[in-house]
Amino acid sequence: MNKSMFETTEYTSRFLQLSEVKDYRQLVYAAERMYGTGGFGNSVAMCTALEGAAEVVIPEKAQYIRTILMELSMMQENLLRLAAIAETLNFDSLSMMCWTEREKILEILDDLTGNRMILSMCVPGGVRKSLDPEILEESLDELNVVMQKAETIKGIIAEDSMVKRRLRGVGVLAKEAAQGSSVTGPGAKGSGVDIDRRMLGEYGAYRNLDFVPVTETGGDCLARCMVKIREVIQSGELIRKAVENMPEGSIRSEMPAGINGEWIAKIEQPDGVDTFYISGSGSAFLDEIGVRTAGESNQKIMDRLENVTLENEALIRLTLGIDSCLKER
Amino acid sequence: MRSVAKIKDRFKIPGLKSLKVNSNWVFHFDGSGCDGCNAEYIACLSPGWDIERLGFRNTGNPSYADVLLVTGLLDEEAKRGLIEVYEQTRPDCKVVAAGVCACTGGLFDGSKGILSGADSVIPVDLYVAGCAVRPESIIDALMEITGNDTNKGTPEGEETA
Repeated sequence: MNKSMFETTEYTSRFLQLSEVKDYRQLVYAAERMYGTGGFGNSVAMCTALEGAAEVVIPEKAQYIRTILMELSMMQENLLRLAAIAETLNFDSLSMMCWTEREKILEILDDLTGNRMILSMCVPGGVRKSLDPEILEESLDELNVVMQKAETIKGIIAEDSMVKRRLRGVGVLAKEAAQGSSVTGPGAKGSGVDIDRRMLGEYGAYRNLDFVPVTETGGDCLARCMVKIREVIQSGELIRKAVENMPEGSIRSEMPAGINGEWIAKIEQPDGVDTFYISGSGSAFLDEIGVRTAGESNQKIMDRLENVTLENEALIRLTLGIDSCLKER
Repeated sequence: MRSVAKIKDRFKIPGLKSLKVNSNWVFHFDGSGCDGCNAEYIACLSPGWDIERLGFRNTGNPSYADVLLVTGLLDEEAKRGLIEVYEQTRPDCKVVAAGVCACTGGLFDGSKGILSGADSVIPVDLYVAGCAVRPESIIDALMEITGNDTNKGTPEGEETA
C-alpha cells in the first residue's frame, strides 16, 4: 500500500512539474495525459477550474457536448474496470463481453472526435469543435445496442453463481464507515451513500438532465460491481437526454490572457472524485496547482473494510478503484 | 513423428524461418505512463482486434518473446525493469516502441526523472507514433517487424499450399 501511495504522488507530480514551463492552455493537454483511459474527465476538471478562476461562463452547448463526451468516456472506463474484475475472477467470457462493448463506445468516440481515448476536445472556455448531428444520430443507435448488452452483463453479475460466490460479502464497507471517510465513487455508492458530484451541477449539463446517482445497499464487492454496470446504463440514458436537449449556439467563449484568482473543481470519475485546485496572479502561468485523484482518497479506506483476505485483495482494490488495473497517474 | 523437413515439404515453405513468421510471441512492457497505450494493447487482445488470429500471442516470459513491445513513459524506476526484461530476451528479439512517450518522451520529455524514450535505455527497431497509439498501428507495427503478411496476400514468387 505504501508503494502505491508513493507511485500516485510521483505520477501526479510529473504533471505538476510541467506547470512551471507550460502555460494554462497547454496544461489542459498535460492534465488529460495524467490518466489515459479517463483523461477527458481530467481535462474537464482543469477547464472548469480555469473558467471558475477567470469568472468565464461557457456556452450552454459546450456544456452539453462536454456532458456527452464525459459520459461516453465514463462508460468505456466502467466497462474497462468490469473487464479487469471479470479477468481477476477468471471469468473470461464476461471479460471479453465487456471489452467488446467498450470497443463500440471507443468507435463512437472516434467517429465524434477523431481519437479513441485522449480526445483533446476540452479547451478553456468551451470545446474545440461541435459534434456532427448525423454521426450523433448513428451513435445513438449504436448506443442502444451497447445498452442492451449492458443489461445482459448486469444480469450475469446479478445472477451468476460463481460471480456471487466470489464477490458477495467480500470487503464489506459499512454505510457509517463510508460516510465518515474520504471514500467516493463506487465505494460510497455501493454502501448506500448517494454522493455524486454530478448532482451539484457544477460542471456539465447535469442539472437539466434529472440526474439521480446509482446506489446499492450491499457494501460488498458485488454491490460495487452492480454500481459500475448500472452506471454504464445510466450514462447511456444521460447521453440520449443530452443529445435530445442540445441547444444551438456558440461552443466557445473568450478566455483572458492570464488567470487571476483561484478555484477548486471536483469531477466525478468512475473511481470517485478528482479534485483540481488552481491559483494564478494575472499571468498565463499558474502559481499553484494541486491534484487529488480518486485513488488517493479511496486508498485510506482499506483498514475499515470487513472480510479482507489476501486472495480477495485484488478484487477489493479493483472494485473500490484503488490502484486499479489501470492506475491513477 | 513428423520431421521438420516433412512439414516444410508439405507446406512448401522455402525456409524454416517462414514457419516462424506466423507464430510470434509478444512480451508487453508498460512503463509508468498514463496507461492509454497499455489499454490499447490489451484492446488488441480483445475480440475487437484479436491479434491472436494473426499468429501473435501474449506471453509473460521475456525469454519466449519474439517481439518486446514497450509502451508508456519511462522513468528511473521503469528503466531498471526494462533493462532486466531486455537482458532475458533472446538475441533475435525485436523491440517495438509504441506510443509517443515510449518513442521520445512526448509531452513529459524533460520532466524530472523522465527519460526521452525507450531508445535511451535499449536499442529500438521500430517506432510507432500516436497518443494514445491506436490498435491498428500496433497491429501494423507487429506485422511489419515480424514479416507477417497474413492479410497482405501471398508475396511474389511463393506458392501457397
